[in-house]
Amino acid sequence: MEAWKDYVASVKTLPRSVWDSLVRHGAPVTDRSRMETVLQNLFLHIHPTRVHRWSLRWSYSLGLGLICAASFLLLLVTGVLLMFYYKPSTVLAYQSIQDIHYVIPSGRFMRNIHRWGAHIMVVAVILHMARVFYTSSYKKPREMNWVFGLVLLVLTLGLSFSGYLLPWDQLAYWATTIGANIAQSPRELTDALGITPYFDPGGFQKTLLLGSRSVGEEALIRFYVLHIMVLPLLMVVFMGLHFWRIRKDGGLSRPEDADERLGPPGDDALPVFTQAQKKSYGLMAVVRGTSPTVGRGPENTVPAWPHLMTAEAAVFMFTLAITVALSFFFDAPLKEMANPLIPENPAKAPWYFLGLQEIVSFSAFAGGVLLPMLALIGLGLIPYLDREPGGVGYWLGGRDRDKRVFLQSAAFGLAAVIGLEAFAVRFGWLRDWFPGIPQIVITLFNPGTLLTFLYVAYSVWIIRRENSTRLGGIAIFTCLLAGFIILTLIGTYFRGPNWGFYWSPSHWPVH
Amino acid sequence: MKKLLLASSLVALGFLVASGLSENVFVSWKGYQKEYARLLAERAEDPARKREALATAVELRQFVVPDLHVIDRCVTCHLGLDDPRMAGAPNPYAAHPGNILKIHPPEKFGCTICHRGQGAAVSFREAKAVDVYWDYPLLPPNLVESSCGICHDPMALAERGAPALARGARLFEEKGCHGCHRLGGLGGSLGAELDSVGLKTKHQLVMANLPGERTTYRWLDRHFKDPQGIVPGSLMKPDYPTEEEARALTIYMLSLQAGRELPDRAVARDRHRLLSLEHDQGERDGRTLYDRLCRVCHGEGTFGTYDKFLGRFVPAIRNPAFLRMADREFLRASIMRGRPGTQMAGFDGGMTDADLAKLLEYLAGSERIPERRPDSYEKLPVGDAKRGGSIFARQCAGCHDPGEKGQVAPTLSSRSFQEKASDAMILRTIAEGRPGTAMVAFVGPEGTGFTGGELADLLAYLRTLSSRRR
Repeated sequence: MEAWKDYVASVKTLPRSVWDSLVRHGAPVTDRSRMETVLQNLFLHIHPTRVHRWSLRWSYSLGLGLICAASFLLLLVTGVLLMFYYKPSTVLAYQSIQDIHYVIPSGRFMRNIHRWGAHIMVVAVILHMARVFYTSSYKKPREMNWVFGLVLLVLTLGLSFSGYLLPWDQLAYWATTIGANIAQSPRELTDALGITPYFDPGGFQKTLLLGSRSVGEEALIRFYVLHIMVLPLLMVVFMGLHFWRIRKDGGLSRPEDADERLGPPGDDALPVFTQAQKKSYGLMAVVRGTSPTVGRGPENTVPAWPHLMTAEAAVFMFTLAITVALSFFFDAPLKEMANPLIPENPAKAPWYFLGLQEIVSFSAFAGGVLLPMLALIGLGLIPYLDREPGGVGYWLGGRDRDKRVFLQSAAFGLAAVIGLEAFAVRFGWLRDWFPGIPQIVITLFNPGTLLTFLYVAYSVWIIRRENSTRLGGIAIFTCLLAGFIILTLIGTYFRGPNWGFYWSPSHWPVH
Repeated sequence: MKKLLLASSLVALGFLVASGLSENVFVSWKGYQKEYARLLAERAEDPARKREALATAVELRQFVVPDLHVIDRCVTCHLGLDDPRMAGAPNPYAAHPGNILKIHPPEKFGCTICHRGQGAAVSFREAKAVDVYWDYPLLPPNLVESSCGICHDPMALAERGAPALARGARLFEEKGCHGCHRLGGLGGSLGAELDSVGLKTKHQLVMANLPGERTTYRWLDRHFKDPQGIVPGSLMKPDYPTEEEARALTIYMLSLQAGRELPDRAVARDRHRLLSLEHDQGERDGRTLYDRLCRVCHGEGTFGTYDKFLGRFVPAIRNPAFLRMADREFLRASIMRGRPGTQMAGFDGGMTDADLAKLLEYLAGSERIPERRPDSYEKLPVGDAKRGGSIFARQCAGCHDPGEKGQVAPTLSSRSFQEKASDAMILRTIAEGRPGTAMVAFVGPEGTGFTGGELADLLAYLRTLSSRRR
């Protein structure tokens, strides 16, 4: 009978015991169980158990990294849903998007979220990079994480661009055609050297990308596989690396004197160590660098559960709210079905490439290969070339000198790009003055390369004037940002048919 | 932070619910289906039918016709399509007028094959597709006839079903449109080829000067009434058609869809016959060919006339004086290769050899034109091209600009002219002129005008023009 009683008792407590076996610590009400909540959960354990209050400050991180991750998650979910209906073939792709748009329950909304999520992710990634830069967060020991961040930027753009072709509409077809021709642009160089027949990296790149000479079935499958498999996998791997490194590098960057500046914790912070210390800090001895908890009490840290979790949930929901609001009011575009016989004019790449397309209009090689490569390499080298200590954890180091240089660089960057563009729009460029000029001259000498030269020269001058590599970095980064923004705006809003300059699309000649 | 979490969650939830409702519950077609069930119940004769009508499932409906690449969801709203009880009901519930659906069951042909529009869409704005991205917006009812011509010979439908289409086809022949436009292998090359003009999208037409909705059918209609108003500088002669004529021609243009792949089952027998005749149904005797191909510019062809649209004199090609100088080789070259520097574009590929022979016979009329006229005119001294050049500059260049393009008269440096115009013909033309054109005789009856020497100089100069071009 004992067995029977035990059995009844087991049945009665079944839900409880299943739950207890799933969550082996108690409810997160004590300091210890809060830590365990994070530590013992596979999905949460990438978080620290305690997080510094500085990291939770609004004004510091702006939640941008989380917005990137949140929008990636949104894209993953909606992307999988779209995959159920999307058919990657030139005959069926457009039709399947029409079906998703018109008759699949909530298909239109899912596609809108996927589209808007992609835009938001690109914007957030760029802003996140700016945040990390302006708070000096790339400095030792975070140099390599900055580089991983750049890889994530490239992957984000790659994902966005590879998804562009899939609807197989006119927008997709011609944007991809432009992209493929840019991939072929090293020919500009090899043609000038006369070695294209023997050594043709441009042609190889284009063929590699399209699987054919023009955008067609092969290209669609390639872009599809890249978009749903290769790039997302790489993305997840590098996101893992990126997050892992944040943990290992001691959380988000913060200033040396963060504790003093924060003062004592407010009332909303849960009390520290209400129970006896359980965890051994001996482990911390192997953590590299000046980890905050080495030789210092955890006074200014708070349990990750609930503080960090609430913050993450808030940012995630905020991202979701913005995305669904946009998706509710604005449909993702679907133009006419791709038609190789009717070129779009102007055929524009996705907006974040329009700054480059603006330079491509002078030289495909300069705008599509040379300058982006230079920019990426330059960005990647920043943490290795600027090794000045200090200033970490504040926007612009919290110093007036940095702010002044930032404003000067912004002014110079804007003036240079606007001036050069205005000149090129008003007076034309070399090809307009000397029609017979060899293209190689324009490849080397166009508003894009000239601008890059000016920016580099300016930042070198700043390094020497201010005797600071950090300020030189601020100069070049700010100039690049200014150039990117202005060129993107021009490419997006002021370029019309045949890449002519128009103040507004309403002035475009209708053909 | 918690406030942000709460607010964002509420906003996200709100929009998720709102979109779920607006995309799945409050969609227009569901409303139409319910209203249709009500209308049907109203018209039911007995309670059983009424119950049946009200119990009709609210669901998406579509016609799928794989061999025509059609998935049309129009019936999702147009439920009364084939129900005679719905005759006279308001749209979208009304029955399809006429007996068309009996002959062309929608399960076999769909809707958009005739009406155009975006069949995949299930809202009227997107199905009509005038201001959404779709190549072929819904045709207005009075132009739907055009689609008969996709599978039928227009003429076969003159008496049954598509009178305006047949009228358009007839007008096209009568007005000499073939003179510039090639269709079905017949016609000139000055204007656009029209075999697939009905498949053009609005992006392939110059829409800048078309006020209002930018659709191909409105473009065609306006363009027939005012070619230069729609395409500035167009050489197309305004024919001032009536409203009905313009509609008939528009319908005919929309029907021209040779590039469209159709399953054999869809193509009517009369159209197979038409295709075997290469679109040509009229008789192709010389006179008909002249009317279709030449008359629009050359008129009767006995007098040269100044054409204000072409901005030049159009030569009299049936003028006896001309025919006495020209030979068949020259005429053939002029017709097939055209006369560069004029609007006379070649008909090569636009007519068969048999057509050309018939046309030459008709042009000759009672004249007997030899294959090649002998090269001798009179015995002339060998001319000096330099002196000839100065004569040309004074006397000829005003009309025959020796540059790339002729001004008022044909360019004399073109290859076809240089190869096919014999010395004799050139000399005789200079000496005797071309009656009915601006080309006057330069040698008078009593030895006035050019001397033999001057003629020889001119000829020598003219013969240098071809080499200069190259």
